[in-house]
Amino acid sequence: MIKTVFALFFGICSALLVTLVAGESPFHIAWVLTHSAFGSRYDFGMTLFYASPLIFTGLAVAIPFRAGLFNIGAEGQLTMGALAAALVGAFWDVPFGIGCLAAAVAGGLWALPPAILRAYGRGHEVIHTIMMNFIAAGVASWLTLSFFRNPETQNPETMPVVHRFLFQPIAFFHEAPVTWLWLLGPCVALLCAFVCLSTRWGFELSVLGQSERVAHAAGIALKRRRIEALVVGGMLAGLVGVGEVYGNAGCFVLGFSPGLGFMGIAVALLGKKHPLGIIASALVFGALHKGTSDLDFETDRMTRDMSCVLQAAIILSLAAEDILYSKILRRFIT
Amino acid sequence: MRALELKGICKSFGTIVANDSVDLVVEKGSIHALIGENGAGKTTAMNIAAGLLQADRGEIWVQGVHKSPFRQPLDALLCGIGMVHQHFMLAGAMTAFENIVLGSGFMPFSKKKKKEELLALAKKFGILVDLDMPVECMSVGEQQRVEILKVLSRKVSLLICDEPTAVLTPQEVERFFDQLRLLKIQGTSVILITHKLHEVMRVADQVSVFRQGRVVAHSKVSDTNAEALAFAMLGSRVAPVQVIRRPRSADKVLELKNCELKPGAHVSFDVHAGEIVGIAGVEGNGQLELFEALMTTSSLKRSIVVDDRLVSGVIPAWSVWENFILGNQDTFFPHGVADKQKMRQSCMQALQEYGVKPLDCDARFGTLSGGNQQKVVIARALYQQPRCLIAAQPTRGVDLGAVALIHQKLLAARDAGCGIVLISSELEEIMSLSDRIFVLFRGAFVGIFTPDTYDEALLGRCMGGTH
Repeated sequence: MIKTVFALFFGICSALLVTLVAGESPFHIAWVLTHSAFGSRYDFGMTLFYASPLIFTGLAVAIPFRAGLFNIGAEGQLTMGALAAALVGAFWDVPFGIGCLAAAVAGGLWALPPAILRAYGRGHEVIHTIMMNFIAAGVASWLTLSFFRNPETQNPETMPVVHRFLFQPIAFFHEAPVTWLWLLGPCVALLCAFVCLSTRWGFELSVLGQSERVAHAAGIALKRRRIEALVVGGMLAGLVGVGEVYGNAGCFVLGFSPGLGFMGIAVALLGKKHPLGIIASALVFGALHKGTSDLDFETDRMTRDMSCVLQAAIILSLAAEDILYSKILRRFIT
Repeated sequence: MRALELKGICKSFGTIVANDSVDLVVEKGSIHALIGENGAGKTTAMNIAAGLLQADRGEIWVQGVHKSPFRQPLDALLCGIGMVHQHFMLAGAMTAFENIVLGSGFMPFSKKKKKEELLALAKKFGILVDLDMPVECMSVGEQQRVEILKVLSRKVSLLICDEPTAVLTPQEVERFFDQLRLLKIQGTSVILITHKLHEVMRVADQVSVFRQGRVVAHSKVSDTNAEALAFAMLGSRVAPVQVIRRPRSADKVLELKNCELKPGAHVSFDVHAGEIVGIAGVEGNGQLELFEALMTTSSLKRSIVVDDRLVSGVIPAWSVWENFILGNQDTFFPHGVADKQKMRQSCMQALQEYGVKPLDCDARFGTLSGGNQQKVVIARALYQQPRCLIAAQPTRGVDLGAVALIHQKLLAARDAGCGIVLISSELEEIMSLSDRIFVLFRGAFVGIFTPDTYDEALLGRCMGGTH
């Protein structure tokens, strides 16, 4: 825990040092970041808004990761999830829960082919989930543009969902598009925490993640658990669609995700694969995202691309957290 | 003249003291045996002497000269100390010659000349090795000879062998001992790490006994006997396990039919309730394949003890109780949800029953000593009272005290009606526990014995394929 927090701190500091090269004051940048992320109710609301999908994509990477599988396909899975949520909401008169279920199922189905290839065919899930991202992008734009396009706008988006499905922003956060749907993420994370830490399924997943041979000898059904882990990951990514469609856009907008699925990898790393850690780490990344978005106006030379630098520095520091801890932090502690 | 002298060597790993002021004198031109239970510190002391580990304190004297501490194996080699490890360090696809010259420096050399030198050396020490054969095509005994020749080619005057006989057939052991005697005559000193007392009595001149990181006894072999050595090793006497053979029940718990272990070699056998079936054989003759086949054979309530505990048996970074659950998920997750209280309670009970130290189910598994680790593994496998147990090398790398306990528990499980498949390269273990013995050679059973029909010589010949 302390290692991870220190690595995060170190990563942010080293990214801020980079701003020196651009002729900015790191302290000023740090102040802008903090102020912009937490300075007002609206700013905090935006931070929460950005964090929400990251909780899901973080979990979508973390759960398979516990089983030793690397799900790089959250991006494609959440695209399909959002599309499914939008289509159900627009064309099918069913309860709200069915819309959520559709999003999860669509994401899960999108993870199924790589899962089967991994379990039975020795295909590598990293390659296949990445490929599925591209297929998802293609399929989603084909369906949206050719079949379900909303003719009333110039934007590449589907028909709007029925009003009944939509959630209204909470007034507390002023204009920020945070709805009560936001709570879905933490609730799902809590559920994941229980499943991962206190059930047989979760235990077997962690064993598999530690060693395939140990899992085999302990009588764990390797193929089944692998498929389940990836599909559950896909379902979690699909749930991004619920908040996006019913809580924000009201329809499926092509290319709505600025790489949420890939940011999920960083979120899962910072959260240490622990579902509750992922809530915290999603908030951190949400705050960074919100903070950097104001750099364009508040500084002369920095742009919001600073968020990429921050992300990269954090990931590198996390990867080196043991070294950072033993070489730097331990000297101060002892 | 003294080939090697260790004075007050201390070495700890974290909180574990592996060597607590070890003093050792090895006379030149003698075979010096180091015995002791696993974790007694013999291998650590020798790794320090060979430069693989660095001592925390203490001095190393070679040929009567005080040497600065060895920082790497090369330093030790330059002083004439070479070590043959328990697990060979050879590149399988390369020939014996290539393996021997590997790492001998970057200076260009003439292959032909080098080969002639090696042949002369091999002849001098009576080591028969085909230099041009890839190592992976060799038997374990031949590979060991390559290792020895490799060390000797660095002009060593002291050869350290760590558990050299563990992987050899009885006949190969004989040859190995002849080899050692020849080395001794030529003036090379030998340190032999072992835990087999009869080997000490047969081949060694001097013997030092390790216990809990110290040398507790030292004597000439001619002045002592096996019983006294065992006493020194253990500190207290261990009663040999009493085996009472019982008639076989008709109830089959496991059946393997026409299973192909190696190309063209099939085996079939069955295991009845309440018997121990021993699978003897030199390692690499299909044991792995047989184990895999048995593991995938679905059977009601079967348990498994794998041979490479730390690689496929447990997760060393996890706590003892988490590892205790492994394989017993059915019991500990009623309706799929963890019963954490029961997990810890059952684990504590098992630790008490098996006398595991420390008595702490939250300890990291990897911090336990080999014997204690294996006790947990056996306790775990027998926890659900399985109908069938497949145990591969259940006492490998385990001290004598733990061996006795494990044997006792296996026999108790047998008497309670469990059918046990015992795959082991320890012939003694197989002979003392099994109700039937199958000898595996190149993937097929070449001999089937019952208690009244086996003797060591016959079994040994079967293991070597000359039955």
